[in-house]
Amino acid sequence: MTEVVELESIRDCLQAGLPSPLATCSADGTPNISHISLVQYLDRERVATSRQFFNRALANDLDASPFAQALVVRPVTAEQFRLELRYLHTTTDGEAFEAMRANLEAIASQTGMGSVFRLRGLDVHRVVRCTRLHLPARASQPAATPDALGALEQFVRRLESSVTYEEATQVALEALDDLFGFRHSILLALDPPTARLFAIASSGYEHSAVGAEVAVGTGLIGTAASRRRLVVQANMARSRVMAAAVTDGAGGEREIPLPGLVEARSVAAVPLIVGQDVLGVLYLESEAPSAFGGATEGLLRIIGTHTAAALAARGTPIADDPGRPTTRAPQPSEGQPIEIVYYQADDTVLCDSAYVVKGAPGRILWSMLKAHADSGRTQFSNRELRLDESLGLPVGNDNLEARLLVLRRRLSDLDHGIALERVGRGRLELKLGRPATLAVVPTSGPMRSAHEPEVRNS
Amino acid sequence: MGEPIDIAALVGQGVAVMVATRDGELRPEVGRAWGPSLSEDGARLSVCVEGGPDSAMARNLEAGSPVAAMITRLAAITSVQLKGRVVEVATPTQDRLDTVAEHVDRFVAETGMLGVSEATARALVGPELLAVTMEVTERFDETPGAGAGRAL
Repeated sequence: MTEVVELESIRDCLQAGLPSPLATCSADGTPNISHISLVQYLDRERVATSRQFFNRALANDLDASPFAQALVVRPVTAEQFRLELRYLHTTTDGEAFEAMRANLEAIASQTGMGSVFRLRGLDVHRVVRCTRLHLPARASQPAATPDALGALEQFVRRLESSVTYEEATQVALEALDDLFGFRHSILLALDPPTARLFAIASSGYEHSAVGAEVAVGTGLIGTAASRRRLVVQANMARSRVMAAAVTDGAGGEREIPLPGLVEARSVAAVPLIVGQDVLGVLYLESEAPSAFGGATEGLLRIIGTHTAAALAARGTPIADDPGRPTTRAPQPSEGQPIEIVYYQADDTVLCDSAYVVKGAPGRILWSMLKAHADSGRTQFSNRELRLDESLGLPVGNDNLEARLLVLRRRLSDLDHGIALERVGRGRLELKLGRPATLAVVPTSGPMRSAHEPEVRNS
Repeated sequence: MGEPIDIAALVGQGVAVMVATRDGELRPEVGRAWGPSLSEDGARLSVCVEGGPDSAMARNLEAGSPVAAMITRLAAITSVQLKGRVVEVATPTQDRLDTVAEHVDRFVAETGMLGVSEATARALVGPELLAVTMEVTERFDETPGAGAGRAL
């Protein structure tokens, strides 16, 4: 028993993350079955299937006979749909090709099967007929479509109402949960000099993701950034595999693991782009299969655009509060001293042997701690941090707000008696709850010159 | 060149089975199949393929279409494709239906390792089945990778 349905109505079944069988026929009349990694919706009448390098028979068949047939499954209900296709042409460029390549690269990076998933082309087919096969007893009609436009409007309004960069990150993730039910999310900012993305906020996980890093081009998150495209995996069997992959195999005490849902069934990595610049990635996970497929993809792109614009608007340099006197405070004299160690090699800072932060945020923290130890200073301005060449912040896109946010949240999460609080626009106050001892582990490696005192002609 | 694939052992696991036929205009028809059973000499494969008596699959089989059967172990991403001709099409006997039930149990266990719920896996089984036996003339390794398409 079959029922003809509109292709539009099964968009959520396409790119569902399940390999789809694609039947074709060779010139001599022998049927052939290929496993297709992705069937991509193009428009109301056309779909594209991935042609990977190993699909030699498929390529020959489509050249000999244009008829093909694919089966796709709706993951939630197990409904199956048969697509009767007529092959039109193969393309190796364009938006659809790049979108599929980004998705396949993400799968490849995640599974370590780069050569298997290399995309040779995109086979474009006209959908002659789309039919639903037997309706499983437990299958239900698709849930009523929520008012996506209304929710989107609220999302934008809430973002607009946020004042600071930090507030915008918090509001964005809260609104994604409240308005769209995206309960598990991580915001990552791009650090162009190191080609790494670092988590600046997370929501819905047992442990904070702040400070975790992902290399650009690695895993779903890194691929979304390198390809500048939305990456959706609609059926993740093992989220932990992904989590391990995206952390580059890094481990040990000086790395913050990216959290991942044990039972994640679908994930999405949304690039945050303003103009030509990738600012970061919004990463979403769900326990439900196919939570981000179909029409939701368009929604995610809009959410990404607005989130990127909100962060960009609040991450640009603004005038600091003028006229505040520089506050100085003596070292606290009571309590067990906090042992702070700074490693020059990678700017790692440890507090009582616990990893706090590294890289640019590490340099910033160390600079403040040293200033406090030398002169009792407690207040610092964004402006002076930007002008301090020893911090090595890139001119222009210095991501200072994102770096300070990571630093503040890491200190807050660790609760070792060191806090960095905002005390005005563009001003921060370092607070020490206990006396601190500072120690430097110098490097003789490649970073040595960066830490040598500048030689001045007198 | 990868390890040789033990087709008989593969067939006995919780594999996903797809069968394809075609009509006189080379339009393919693909459907799921259950309860695969390979003869001892490996020359014949019996399956119950989804389709009613009036389905395109049934018409193609009755017309003597060549047959392709893809057998895939999802958890290991191991896949073989057998090709050949139909030697018998019939209504499934109780024995064949019992074989189907046993296979579905193994399929449920296999897909369960991939996070698919039992209810979802069982819902994939169609209500109408055709018992098909094919004579296998060609065997191919379809495991994704450099060796895909290699004749076995």
